[in-house]
Amino acid sequence: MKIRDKKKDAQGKKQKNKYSLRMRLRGWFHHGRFIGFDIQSIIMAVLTGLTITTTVVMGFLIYNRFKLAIKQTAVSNAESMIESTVDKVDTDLAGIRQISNGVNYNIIQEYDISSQEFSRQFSLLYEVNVDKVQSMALYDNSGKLVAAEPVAVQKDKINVEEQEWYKNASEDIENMHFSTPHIQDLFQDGANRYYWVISLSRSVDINDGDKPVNGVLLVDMKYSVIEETLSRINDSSSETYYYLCNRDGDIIYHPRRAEIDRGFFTEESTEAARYDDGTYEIKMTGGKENVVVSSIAYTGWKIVGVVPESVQTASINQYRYYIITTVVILLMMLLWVNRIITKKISKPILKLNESVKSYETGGTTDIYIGGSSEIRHLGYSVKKSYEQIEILMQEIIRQQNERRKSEMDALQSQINPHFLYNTLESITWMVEANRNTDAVFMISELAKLLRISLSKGRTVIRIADEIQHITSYMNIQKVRYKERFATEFIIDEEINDYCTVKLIVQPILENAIYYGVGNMDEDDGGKITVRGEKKGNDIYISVEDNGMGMSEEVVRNILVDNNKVPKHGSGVGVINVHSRIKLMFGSEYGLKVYSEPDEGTKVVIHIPAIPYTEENRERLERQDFGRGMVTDEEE
Amino acid sequence: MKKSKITFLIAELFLVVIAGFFIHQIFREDVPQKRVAVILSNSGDKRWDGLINGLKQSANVNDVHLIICNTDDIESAQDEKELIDEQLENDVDAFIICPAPGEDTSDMLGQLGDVPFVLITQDAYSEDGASGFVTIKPDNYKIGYTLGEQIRANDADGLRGKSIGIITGYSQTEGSVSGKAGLMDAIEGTGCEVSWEYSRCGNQNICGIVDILGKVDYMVVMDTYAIDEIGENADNGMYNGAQIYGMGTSVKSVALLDAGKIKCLVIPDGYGVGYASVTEVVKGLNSRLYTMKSREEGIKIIYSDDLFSDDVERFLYSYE
Repeated sequence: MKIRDKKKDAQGKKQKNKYSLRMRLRGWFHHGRFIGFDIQSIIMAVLTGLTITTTVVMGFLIYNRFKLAIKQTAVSNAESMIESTVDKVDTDLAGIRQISNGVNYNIIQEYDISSQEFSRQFSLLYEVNVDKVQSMALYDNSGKLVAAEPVAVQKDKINVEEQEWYKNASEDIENMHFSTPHIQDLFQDGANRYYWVISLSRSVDINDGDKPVNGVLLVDMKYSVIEETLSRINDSSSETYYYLCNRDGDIIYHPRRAEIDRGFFTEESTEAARYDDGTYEIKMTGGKENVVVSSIAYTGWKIVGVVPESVQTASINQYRYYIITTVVILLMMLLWVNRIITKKISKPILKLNESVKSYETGGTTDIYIGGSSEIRHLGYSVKKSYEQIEILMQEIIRQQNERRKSEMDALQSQINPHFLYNTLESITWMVEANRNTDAVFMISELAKLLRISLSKGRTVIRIADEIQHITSYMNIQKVRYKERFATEFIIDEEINDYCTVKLIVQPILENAIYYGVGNMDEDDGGKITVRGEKKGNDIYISVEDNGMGMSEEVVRNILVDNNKVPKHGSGVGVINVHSRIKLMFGSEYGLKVYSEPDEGTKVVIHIPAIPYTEENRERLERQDFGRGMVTDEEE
Repeated sequence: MKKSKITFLIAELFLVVIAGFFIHQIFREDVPQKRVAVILSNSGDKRWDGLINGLKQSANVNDVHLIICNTDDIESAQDEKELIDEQLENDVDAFIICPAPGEDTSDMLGQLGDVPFVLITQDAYSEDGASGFVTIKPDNYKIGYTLGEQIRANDADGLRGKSIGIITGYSQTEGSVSGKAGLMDAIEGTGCEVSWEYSRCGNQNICGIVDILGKVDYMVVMDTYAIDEIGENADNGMYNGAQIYGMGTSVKSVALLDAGKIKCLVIPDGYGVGYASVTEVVKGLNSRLYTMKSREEGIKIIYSDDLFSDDVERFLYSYE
């Protein structure tokens, strides 16, 4: 069970890891790490990638083609060289064979060895071929020297019967035998020198008086004849080299023979000797090499031409620089062209994008239209869409304004019936008490108040009318409250001709009476002071009473539309007034309330100083506040 | 400047640099071969044939220009210094030097400074032992020791009471000192007496000097000049009754052995020394990080009977 649980855990972790990896990848794409490049970068990157790939592949193919051509040329040269060398060596060896034949058929078989003619002809033939032949010697079947040219003393310790050339000739009497190069060690040399020779030996019939005997004819060919031929072709080839070996792979000539003897260099001559004539590619430890093999007639020797890989490398190095330079220059030019093409394609798209961004950040709807027909079409479409959006937005704003106006109208309509009810109640009370004069005064003041309240249905009125309105209101209230508090109006006359939302002071006064001075006795000296003044571009109308004041919590919540503060009568009006001012003039305007318990309350109405003109009034009522509104200072 | 433009300009600049580099490579003339000067005493002498063949072949393989200075006998460090200075004026890159005899040679070579050089055939003479220079040479001690061993091996009666005369090259050379030390170690305890020792000093008539030095049973000649001269005047492997054992580096010395005028010959691999010295110098020239190394090449002991074995013939091939 535990094992199963562990397996489940492991599987769970695995799945979790897979899941998290997938999520991370999604996150990468989602966060635009892969798609966050602009179109110019993407096009440039793609074109650059294609350009690099194409040029590099092209360069590589050209390089390879050229390398192959160089290799073929090198092999072809080696083949030609070997062909001519084989002819030359063949001729040299044939010449030696002819000399041997000449000695055998024209001298040995013709003359008795003891005759002077024999010696003369033997010597003459040697003299004629002295450039190729180091020495000629005739031995009888017991290994005794019969004749030699040049005439020299044979070394004492020499026993020719033990020598390879003699044994070969004695054992195989039908053929001529070529040895590998060796130091000739038959004759003494006064100059203390050694000669490298290739021995050609054959069995011959010697006329020695009446009894013919078998013997061995030795013609020592100068090794230098072969050596010079092969040295010449090796000297003319820089890296390709040629060597000569017998059919067993024993080296006859090699330009680096001394190195091979000491192990400084190795040659696969045994393997090459096994090949038939032709060209082969052999894998060596240092790399591949091409081997050209050609056989020499009669001897079975092989001339081998070796074309190492380094030949191709050395020849192609210079060409490689040309190819790389061409590829790099091509790459530079193509990158330049790519950039031009990229800019051509992406510039209109980027401009279109910029204009859209500009619009999105509140700029104009001047959408870029340019570039190819597709981009132009896209520009036109975007522009048309934005224009339609603009129209729709204006329509939405208009509808919103209308909705606000409706709300304001609704708020105002909350005041009028309430106040009217209270006033009429007071008049009723006066009439019942036969206070007709007071009742007339009250009705007169009420009439003024209602006239201003109605204001032909206008929302925005002159401040002077608002002051008149509150004056009438306070007159009515003072009658109702039997002059238990005093009222003072300190209004700067300059504010009279500025705009205000109608009926914004009366609710404040109503609250000042209800919660401030309304319940005070005459002796308590209750007083409400109304001040109006202009400061800068703003107008401040304050209503201050010395009533019982409010707690800090009440002050904090009085302008908040919640139920924490009890609202009586037109008490809701304070919030209404605050909301109406904000709706009309903006959120930076409205009421501020300052109050201290047992000290009094001061409510400040803050509105902008907008001169009362018919145009301004209409604009305010249309809620166009701030859009082309002429303020006092600008005026 | 926009980021993409900077990237583009950097890429273009990079490509311009690459293109510039390869254009430079195209138009660059063939790099001149490194020049290596070889300073050998009597450079034209036949005894250097094998060594010079090795030097030349290695120079060919390693693609260096070899300058074999044409010299007479170098008898002192001063002679050698003049040759070196002359070659330094010719802007050679390295030297292969057969050190001159004398104590001053080490100091003189030490003043070569940064110019790489390899000593060949023998180390620079120093009383304190090895000079510390890179040296490619035969084991000279072993040559002396081998000759001593061969004398011991060939004398069935033992060496007690026999006398030996020793001929070496210049006295203040590592080759002479080591060879003699090897020989002395080989015959130590045999009861054989060293009657006389002679170290070459200039082009003196060695046969005349040996005649004066007196008769001995064995003559060990570890001077390649002297072996040719004495061998030439010997008869049946003896000079004035002394069997000749020696060190030779020329075909002539081998021919004298073949003719029976020298009893036994030890041949250092001159070709190998020459080949390896150039290879080592080239390695040093091609890489500053490579530290050239000393090495010792092999020797061959030859008697006239085995002179024309394949093995010896192959060895002699390089002397042609």
